[in-house]
Amino acid sequence: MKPKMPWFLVAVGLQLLLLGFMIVPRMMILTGGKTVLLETEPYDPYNIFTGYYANLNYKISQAEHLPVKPHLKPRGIYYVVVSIDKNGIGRPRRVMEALPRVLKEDEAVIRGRHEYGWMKYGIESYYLPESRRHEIEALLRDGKRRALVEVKVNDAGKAVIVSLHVAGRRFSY
Amino acid sequence: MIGAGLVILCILGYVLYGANMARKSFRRMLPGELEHWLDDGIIDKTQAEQLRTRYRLDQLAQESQNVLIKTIFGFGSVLIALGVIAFVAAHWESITKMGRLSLVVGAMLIAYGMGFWFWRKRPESPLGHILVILATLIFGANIALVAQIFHLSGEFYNAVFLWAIGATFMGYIAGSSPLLILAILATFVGYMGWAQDYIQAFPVHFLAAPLVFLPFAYLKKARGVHFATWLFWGIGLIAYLVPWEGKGSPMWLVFIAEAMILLFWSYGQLRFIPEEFSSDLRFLGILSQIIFVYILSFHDLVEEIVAQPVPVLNDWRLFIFVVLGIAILFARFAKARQGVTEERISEGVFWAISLIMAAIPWLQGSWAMPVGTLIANLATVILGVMLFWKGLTILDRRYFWMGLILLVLEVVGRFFEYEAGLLWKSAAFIFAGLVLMAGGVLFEKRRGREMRHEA
Repeated sequence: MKPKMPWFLVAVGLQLLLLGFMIVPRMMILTGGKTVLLETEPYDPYNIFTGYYANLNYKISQAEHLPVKPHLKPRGIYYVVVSIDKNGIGRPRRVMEALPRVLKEDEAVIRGRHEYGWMKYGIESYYLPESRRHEIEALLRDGKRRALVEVKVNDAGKAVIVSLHVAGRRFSY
Repeated sequence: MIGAGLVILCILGYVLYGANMARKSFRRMLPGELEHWLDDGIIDKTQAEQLRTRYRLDQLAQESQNVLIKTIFGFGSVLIALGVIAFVAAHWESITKMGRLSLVVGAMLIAYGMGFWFWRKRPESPLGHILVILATLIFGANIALVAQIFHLSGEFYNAVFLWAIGATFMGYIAGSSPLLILAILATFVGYMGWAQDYIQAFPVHFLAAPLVFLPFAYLKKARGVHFATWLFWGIGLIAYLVPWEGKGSPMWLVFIAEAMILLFWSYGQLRFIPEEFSSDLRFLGILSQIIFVYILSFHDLVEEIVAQPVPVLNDWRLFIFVVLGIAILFARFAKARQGVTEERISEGVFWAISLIMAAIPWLQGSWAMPVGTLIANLATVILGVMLFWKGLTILDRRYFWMGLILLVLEVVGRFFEYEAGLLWKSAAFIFAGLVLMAGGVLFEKRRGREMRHEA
């Protein structure tokens, strides 16, 4: 059967649209979102990389470390309010069940899902080029093995990664 | 041991599926034979010409060429797709994010454009179709690239579902069975991943997969799509209900397996179902039954089943009985089969085994385990012999090999289950190997004789 032109274009268009649904909202967050630096926890030196990306484990990832929180239900969606200090680093202040309507000037909100004692924000992977993996792995392993992750968040609490800061260096891929 | 046996059964069943090549081989042999018959004066030139027309022998060369071209183009497109995926994985920093994205989206659009153009210009060539499949694979690479650019850490099954949506839509528009089969596989993989988070994902799959894919199978008479839909539906059902982590119990496995066997079989008997779909559904019914009787031929499992109290029918899993009810309802509208003795006998054996196996959970008392195991082993042997005989009589390789392999696995399974010495095990293996080889020779000899007879 020969495909018909208009329908074929519709099918290709749908695929482009699906890609668009992935790209456009995130581009909007990157251009208009609020910048927050999130601290990561020290790394297990044997488990920094899974395949082609670094696993990011934030200070706000462990649910028990979060202050002022309701009873966290499994798979529940929660909003973590962070206050941004003078260095741009976001520190958790409270956890809310619904999107907070009013935020202070120095506050941002990040939407996460509670899973088995962990909060997942959809920003737990950082993909790196093949040629830089060893270098960044070494930096993460050295010293305090801590890193800062620069994210942009929108008013709905959706976060997108901008860059990775390790040992005073900034990586953005 | 059970696992290994099942894997072998499944792989062989799938590989042998549709392997009835008798008619094709006969056509390939015919041109050579015709020359001999002409030389020997058995037929004259007019008859030879009639036979050539009847069996479309002039198209043979073109058909072989098409297969060759399809294979070359197929391999080529797989290599290109792998290249694009490796490009994405390499995460080349010399090109900006948007540059990389434009490159891969561009590659997808070029492949679609060329595919569409070739398909319209040269519909007889498989190149157009293969390029469209390649473009859809690149669409998958695009999803991966976008996930990488924005450092998304979501679940992989979301990406798989996204690809499956695009591929299914394109499959429908382009009328492409291979794309639909790939989408069925992707959907299944996606649901397997999703179900690890939410077990409720499986029931969605049971409903969604047939609703999405079967209309294509029926509209286009696409046997592969129909078969793949039900095959993965069945595997999904097993994955959902088998007690991997203490969920469910082996006893319910009996009902589930029974429900699945009867559902496939009865559904295949419906009047409006095309004959080749019916045949595939009966095949899946038999395949499910083989796996089921073979699992229960191990005494450990039977022991676990009969150790439980008599089934009480107040469980949510009552739905299984609803399925059984539907199966029986289907059978009410069964097609009246013309009196093919082999079919009637095999159908009788099939129903008898299904009924007897369903009785196992009700066995109670000290004799329940040995009797249950004996019943399951007898059922395995009877089913094996029936399939072997049916395959040999109607010359269908699928049934023949299923029967023979089931019998061999029965022997091998018993030797491993009951502490036999290495010497006995070696004897069992050698015996099993010899039986398989002898069976193969027997089948091919018989088929060759039938073909000569037919010629």
